[in-house]
Amino acid sequence: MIKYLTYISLALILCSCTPKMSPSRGDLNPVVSEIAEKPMHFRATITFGNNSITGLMAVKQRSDLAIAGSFTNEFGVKGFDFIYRDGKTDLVYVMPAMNRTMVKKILRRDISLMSGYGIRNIGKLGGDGSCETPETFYPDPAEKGHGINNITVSGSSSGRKKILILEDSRYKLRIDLVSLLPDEE
Amino acid sequence: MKKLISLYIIILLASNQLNAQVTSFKNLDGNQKETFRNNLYASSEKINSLECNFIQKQVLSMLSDEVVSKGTMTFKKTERLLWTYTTPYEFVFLMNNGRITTKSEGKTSSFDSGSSPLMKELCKIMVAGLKGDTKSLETSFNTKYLTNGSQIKVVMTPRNKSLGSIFNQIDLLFDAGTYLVSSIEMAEPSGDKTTISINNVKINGTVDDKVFDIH
Repeated sequence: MIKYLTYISLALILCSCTPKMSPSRGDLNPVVSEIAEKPMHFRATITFGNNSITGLMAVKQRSDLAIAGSFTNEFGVKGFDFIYRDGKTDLVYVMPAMNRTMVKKILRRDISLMSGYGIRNIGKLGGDGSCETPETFYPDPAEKGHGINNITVSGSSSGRKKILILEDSRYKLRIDLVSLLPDEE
Repeated sequence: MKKLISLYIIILLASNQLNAQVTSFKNLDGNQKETFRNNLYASSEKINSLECNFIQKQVLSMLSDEVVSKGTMTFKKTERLLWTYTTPYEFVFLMNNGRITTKSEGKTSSFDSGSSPLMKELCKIMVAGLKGDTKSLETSFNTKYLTNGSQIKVVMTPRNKSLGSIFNQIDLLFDAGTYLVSSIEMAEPSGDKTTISINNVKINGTVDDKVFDIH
């Protein structure tokens, strides 16, 4: 009995001491300090042609440096969950109405660009209104001639709010993310 | 070693306490269930209008995050529901005579509720939940009634695949004495859970029709 209790105690101690995963492939997955400690919340608008859906996007960088995100509508119904890692996006969950091959393909690509170029650069946006003129993050100005045609990712700030916009003119898709202030959350 | 045994006993007691809380709701038997169900329905029939505040807590399982929203709801017969979010940002949702209107950032859009089966169903659940008309939901959900004495919990599981792909389970919590709803909890297949707590409920107050004019 006492032996058994000792094993349980040891198991509990070991479980509570699981080491934090060490950062890997830092070049592809740099630390984004703004979302490393706790999730950042955005008011999100996804416009597809003449239709748009609004909701809340929460993003957080995990200990393995992947960026995890959830999009839900205002009533709390989940649209999709994603994990961005090594330049690629996995859609972990997609609501049935959006669960179409083409929709998922476009979402994967656009979330990859929004995460890799928008969210990753969120620290460059002052949050004090100092970046009112949108700065283009994609195509990367340093890599002229590279990048997917017809897609731009830009960022700006309005007051303390940070704004990220992805425009995909080929599919008439636009994603607007406006950060929520701590006192709004 | 004595300490270890004491710790083990404490853990055991704590888990028993937890189990006791989980199982404190007991199934209503046939007659009790019918009586509550009928009383709830009779009470809902008397509701011509309802105004309340709400606090919505949404648990995002993948991020271990919680998002809190607040606002007001206004219901008026027949089937008019105004859902206004004030926190974390302003968002207005109106269901009025089969049309859904939303207003966000000053932009208003309106569409037929038939084109959004999810929103139509969500409205139906909210109206039925607010009024206490659980009978109207029985075509879409299997219902189970439980009580802990002071509250009645109606546990609803979707009957069809389409609803089941959006909700695993919806729990409505009613005051056993007043038949007023106190919370609506929606569990999704993704593991997320949204709890809408209702408070400051005002029944059959004067609600001006103009409240439902959203432009």
